[in-house]
Amino acid sequence: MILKRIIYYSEYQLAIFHWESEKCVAAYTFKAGEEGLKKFETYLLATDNTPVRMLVDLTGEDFCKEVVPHVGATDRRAIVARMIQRQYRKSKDYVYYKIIDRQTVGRRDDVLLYSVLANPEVLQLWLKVLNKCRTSICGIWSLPQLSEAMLSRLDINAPNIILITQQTPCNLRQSFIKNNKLQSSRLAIVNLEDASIGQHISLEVEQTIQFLSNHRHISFDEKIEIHIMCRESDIEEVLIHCTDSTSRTYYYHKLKDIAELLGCDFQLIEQACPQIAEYSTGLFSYVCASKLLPIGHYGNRMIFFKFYEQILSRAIYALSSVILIVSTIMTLGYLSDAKSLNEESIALKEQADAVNNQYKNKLEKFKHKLSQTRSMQSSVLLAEKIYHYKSLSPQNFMSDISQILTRTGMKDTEIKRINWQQLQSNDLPVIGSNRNKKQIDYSKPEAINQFATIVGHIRLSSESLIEATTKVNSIVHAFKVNQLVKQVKVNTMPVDFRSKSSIENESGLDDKISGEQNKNNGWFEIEIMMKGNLNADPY
Amino acid sequence: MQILIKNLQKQILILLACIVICGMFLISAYSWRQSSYEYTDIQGSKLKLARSKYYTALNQKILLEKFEKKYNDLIKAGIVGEEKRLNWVDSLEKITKKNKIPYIKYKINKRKIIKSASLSQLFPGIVLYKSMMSLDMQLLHEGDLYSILDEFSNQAKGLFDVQRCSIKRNSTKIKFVAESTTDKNFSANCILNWYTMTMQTPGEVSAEGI
Repeated sequence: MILKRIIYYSEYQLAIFHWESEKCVAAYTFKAGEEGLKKFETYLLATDNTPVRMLVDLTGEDFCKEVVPHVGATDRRAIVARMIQRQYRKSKDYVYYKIIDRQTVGRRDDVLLYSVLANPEVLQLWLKVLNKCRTSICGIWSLPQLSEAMLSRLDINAPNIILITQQTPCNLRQSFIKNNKLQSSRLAIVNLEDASIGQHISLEVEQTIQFLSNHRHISFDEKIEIHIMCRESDIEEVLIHCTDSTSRTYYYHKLKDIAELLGCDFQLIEQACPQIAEYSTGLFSYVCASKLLPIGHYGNRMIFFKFYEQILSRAIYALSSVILIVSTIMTLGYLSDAKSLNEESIALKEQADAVNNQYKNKLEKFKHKLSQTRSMQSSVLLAEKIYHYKSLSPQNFMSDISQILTRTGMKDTEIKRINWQQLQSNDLPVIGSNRNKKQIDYSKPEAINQFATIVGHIRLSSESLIEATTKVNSIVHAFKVNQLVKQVKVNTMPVDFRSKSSIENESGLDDKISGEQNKNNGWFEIEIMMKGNLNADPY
Repeated sequence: MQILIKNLQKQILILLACIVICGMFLISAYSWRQSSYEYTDIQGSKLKLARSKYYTALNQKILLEKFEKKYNDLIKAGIVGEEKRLNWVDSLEKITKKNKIPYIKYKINKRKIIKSASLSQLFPGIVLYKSMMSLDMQLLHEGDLYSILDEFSNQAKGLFDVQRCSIKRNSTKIKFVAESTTDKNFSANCILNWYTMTMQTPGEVSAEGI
């Protein structure tokens, strides 16, 4: 459980409240004076150095409203600093300001409320003791400034509220809150020997309203709610003197009810320290304790130096702890990783050894032969491929064309010459082309075909010119329709009937002369491209 | 600031000590893990290599079983290894004699290496040689060409293909071959390519490649 220490300070006494969550577990009071300071010092030395929050409730705390130009935060700070420098030279570290309104006409200036401790020296005695005991102070709060938070938590909403509270028997705090914003506050000294608390309250309320009217905080006929938080035993007496009117309505709050509404528990204090529990000091200390961020209203850096140091010290410890924990986790992670990797590498090594052993036992003796496998495979496959194309031979070619020519009838036709070759192309070669001499590459995917030039002669003495030509055409047709033949080209016909050629012939000559002439005519030359093999290349 | 540092000296020292000690532990643990990781990686690579070697050898063994016999047959057939030129010549002489070929002239050129990118890619590990043989013949009948080539293919040790062949009927005044009184009715010339192979040895490069 986190302990929060709240030091309430007024000119008359210093009270310390120990809060654990919503429960006040201890409270101590120290009277102003040498004895009180000594006891306070003893207390600080005897207790843990838990940071303290100071709550000040002083008569010398002034509240002023000023109209300042609407400027940025830095400029506003400078303006306030100048004002304080002019009026409260000693109090530059004990100023708190906030914008409470903005004018609706003209330059639309900001309305600024600042509170200042006019006589900060009264704090110094106690601060010295705190400093001496190296107690860290996390902030100095103004009690009247907490009135807003108090009313807000009590859900009291009205345009004009005067909150009257009594923190010690001899003072009476009156805070004016307009539209949920503190406008002014005043601490009055009451002497209960002169008059009753009811009379004091009634008188002080009248004076405060007069003051507010004079300063134009409220108009004379404006309605005001007056909320009084006083001792339960005083309520009856207060009721006699404070009566409602058209513009004023009084509300009385028992401290117990407020504590219940705030959700804090004072039972322990009521038994141990009833003089504190009777007044609203504890309630304000709770409101102060319940502030989430320890950012107070007054004080300079030096006052909070010990607190910063403490925070920094804790942060460094926390950082050290985090580093220790994170590095421990990471180290353990790495070690665990390394362990599992080592186990894995042992398993891998065992597997590799097993595979190597298996290789040694089964296959190493064939190592030399195995290294030749690729060459053996290549040799066998290439030889098979060459064997496959070996069926491409002039013998087979001549046999094939012989069958084709026989079907067309070979009477009076002689084949004089056949030039045959292998050709790794699908096109007929151009005469004189180097492609005719190109070597066969069995590793290439192109099919190997057969190319041949057939030169023949038809005896014209037996055949007429037309019949000889028809015969050559029928030979060409026979080649073309054959499924083995891919392309056919006629280079020479027995008689060239084309217009670009000339024809010369003689008739009526005797047989001898006619025979000689026939030898010169009747020649034909055909080029054919024949498939290499009907079966596909097996590779 | 100096006061702050002085006051927080102990905490700062503890923090620094934490950083140093934790850093040392972390670095040591990390380097141990890293070395373990590298060692595991090496072992993994070794296993991969061993497996690869084993399975490659297994596959090679399967291929060996498939091709060894055929390969040995190729050696016997004179296709793998050195050329059997004497055998070719002898076979040709015998065939000529047997078939009573009136005239034959042959020439075997120098053996050359066949080199091509597709060859070494498709049939790796071997060197293919080619020896060109030219035949000039005078024949009685065109059927003699069949006989010579067929018998040569069957009897000679080695592998050849016929690159080109040309057969021409010699000029004569007779109408039909049957009426001929000479035994040189046809002229034929053929180009044969003899193929031989050897296993490629590392760094085997010949300047005679074609």
